[in-house]
Formats: sequence, C-alpha cells, structure tokens
Amino acid sequence: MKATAILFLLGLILGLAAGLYYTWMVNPVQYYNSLPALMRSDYRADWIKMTALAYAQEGNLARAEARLNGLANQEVQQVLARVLDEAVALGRPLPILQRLATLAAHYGADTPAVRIYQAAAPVPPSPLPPTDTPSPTPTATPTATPRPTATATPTPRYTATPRPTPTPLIIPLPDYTVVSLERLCEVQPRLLLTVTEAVTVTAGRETRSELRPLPGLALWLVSGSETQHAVTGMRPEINPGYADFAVRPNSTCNLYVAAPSGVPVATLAIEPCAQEDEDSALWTSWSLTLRRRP
Amino acid sequence: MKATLGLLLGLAVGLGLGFLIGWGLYPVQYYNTQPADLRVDYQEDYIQMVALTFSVEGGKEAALQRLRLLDAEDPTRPLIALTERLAQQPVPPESCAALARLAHALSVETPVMRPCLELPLP
Repeated sequence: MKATAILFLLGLILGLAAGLYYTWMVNPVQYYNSLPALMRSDYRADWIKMTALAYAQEGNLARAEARLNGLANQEVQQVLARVLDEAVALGRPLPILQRLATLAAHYGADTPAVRIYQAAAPVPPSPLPPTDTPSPTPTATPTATPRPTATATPTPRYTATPRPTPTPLIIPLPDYTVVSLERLCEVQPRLLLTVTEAVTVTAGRETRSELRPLPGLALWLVSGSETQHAVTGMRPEINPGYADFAVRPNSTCNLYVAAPSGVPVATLAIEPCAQEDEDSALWTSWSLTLRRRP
Repeated sequence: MKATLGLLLGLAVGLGLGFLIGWGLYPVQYYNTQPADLRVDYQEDYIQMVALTFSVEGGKEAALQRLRLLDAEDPTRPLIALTERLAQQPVPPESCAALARLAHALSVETPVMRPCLELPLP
C-alpha cells in the first residue's frame, strides 16, 4: 500500500513536470489577437507617435484615446512630449504643432513646448463622421498639409571674426526694438535671436534695470514667398529667450514678432562676406537682441 | 499490478494538472508582441496611421518599414487590401484618401483604388 502511494506520487510529479514542459515550452498558448499595450516597447513608442501624428491630421480626440487605450499614461506622456519636440525641431506647420500639444496636454504632459503651443491657439477637434463599429477602425478624413519648411538649426561653423559696421535697414516697432546687432560670417547663414524685456531690480537701496529673456514668443521670418516660424525658449541651454533661423544666401529677410504682418522688426540682407580665403563661400549671419518696449 | 496502476494514475493526474496550469491558470504571457500579432481591427488602424503619418512626415522607406512589420514578404499587401476594400464601399470613406496616396507613392495603386485617389485631401 505504501509502495503504491509512493509510485502514485512519483507518477504525479513526473506527469506534472511533463505537462508543464509541454504547455510552456513545446506548445504554449499563442496570442493572435494582441493589443497595442502588449507590443514591444519600441513598437509601442511608434504606435503612440503615429497616433499623435494621425490626431494632428484628423483632430479626432476620441479616436486617439481609443488608440492609446490601455497604454501606460507615463509612457504616453513621454512619447507625446518627444514627438512634439521633434515636430518643433523639424519645423512642422503650426496647426500640427498645436494639435500635438493639445494631445500631449490631454495626457498630462507638461513641457515648455506643450505650454507654448497649447497656449498659442488651441485647435478644436474637427467633427468627423461617426464610426459604425465600436472597434477603432479609422474612418476619419486626413487633412492635407503643406510640406513643412525646415527650420532645423545647422551646426555653426564660425570661420571669421565679427565684422564691424553692420548696415541693415532696421525699422523699430512699437512693441520690440533691436538693441544689439552683430554681423558674423558663416558657411551656412543664420539668424540668431534673443528676445528680452527690461525689468527693474531693487536690491537694498540700489535699483537697476536688467534685461530678462522672454521665452514662448513666436517669431516669424519672411523671405520672398518662404515663411519660417520659431518660438523662443526651445533651446533653454543657450538662453530662455533664444531662437534661430536658417536663412538662404543672397536673400533679404523680414523679421516679425508674434505675427507675420505689419511693419517688420528688422529687415536683414544675407550677402556674401568679404573674405581672404576664396575657396569657401561665407555668408552674412546676424545675431540680434530684441527688447520689448516698456 | 497495484503499484503499476498507481504509477499510471499518478502520471495521468500529473499530466492533467500540468495542462491545466500551463494552458489555463498560468499560460505563457507574451509582452513583446509585434504589430503582426495585433487584433485585426488594430492592424487596420495601424495601416491607417502609417498612411496618415506618411502624409505628415513623408518618407516612403519609413512607411514600408512599418508595413513590413505586418507582412514581411509583401509589405504593401495589407495596404492594398484595406484600400481596395474601402474604395469598393458604396460611398468610399474619406479616410481612404491617405491610404490611396500612400499606395500611389509606393507605386502599388490599382484601378480599384481610383475612387479613393479622387477624394480630395481637405
């Protein structure tokens, strides 16, 4: 009787081991109807990114929510913030940036870019035809957008010292004025801008005026039919009031603050620099500091 | 005889328990699945988003790479199938415009997709 019980236990253990080996190793459960949340992390990040860009086109928040359903909120926040930063760096059109910021803010992301573009002009979601099925099968209408104009900042290659006597035409505006202007010579011409405002600082009995950087300010650069858009503060490691533009050689640019209309803050010519080394073409770059009028 | 029966009975019970645990109670969990493992409606959503992303960012190779995750052998096959299905609806949804434009960009457009291609992108 005792031997029978021992053999039963032995058989039980062997059978259990064999059963587990078969079900876990040889023939495990296969999932063919997986969900986005179960995908590998890089695929999940791409899913979130595509959801954001689709929302930027469609403007359908309910659909975006359905697509992101089940994903960790923190992961969604991080990816959405990163997608917005990338879109800003690539110079995507303003409505796209606003929608990306709106979606990121909806999921609780709080970054400078989110605050800037969400506050700029929120774009209400466009109404879409209702979907018949409860599944997130998309039926939305994609919105056509023009190809963005690149505004990425090229790596500076300073090859000459600043030249004296800049002679651009500068027309002061009621709101902003150019307080400093420096001419540089670079292979890839740029416009480097720092926007500030004067504040009065009192320390003890001493009162002095300081220039404080202004982040979150929209700048526009119009050159012929080409319009570029930038926002100050996207590169806080340089200066919270800093923004820059890549500009075309042999062109004239009008700089505007807030909106590309009215009288420009400055009109700048991008001309060839006089140079000793004739092998490499150098062009005028301008470094400006703007100050808001009190 | 009794001992052999005991052993066989133990094996059978053990195997049954093993199957119950391995397939039912604690099955293998897949956390690192691929887009090809997604439910069909999510796969269609994935294709839609690939097309919409292409309309924002461009990049034919990036779109192909994403579609390859659904069908490595013929990456455009799911795109063509979905676009044609939507195009054959009595009133093709405007959403198929982005799909058809991606198919056009990848040079795999078919005559069936024409209604989608003719839809204006707003």
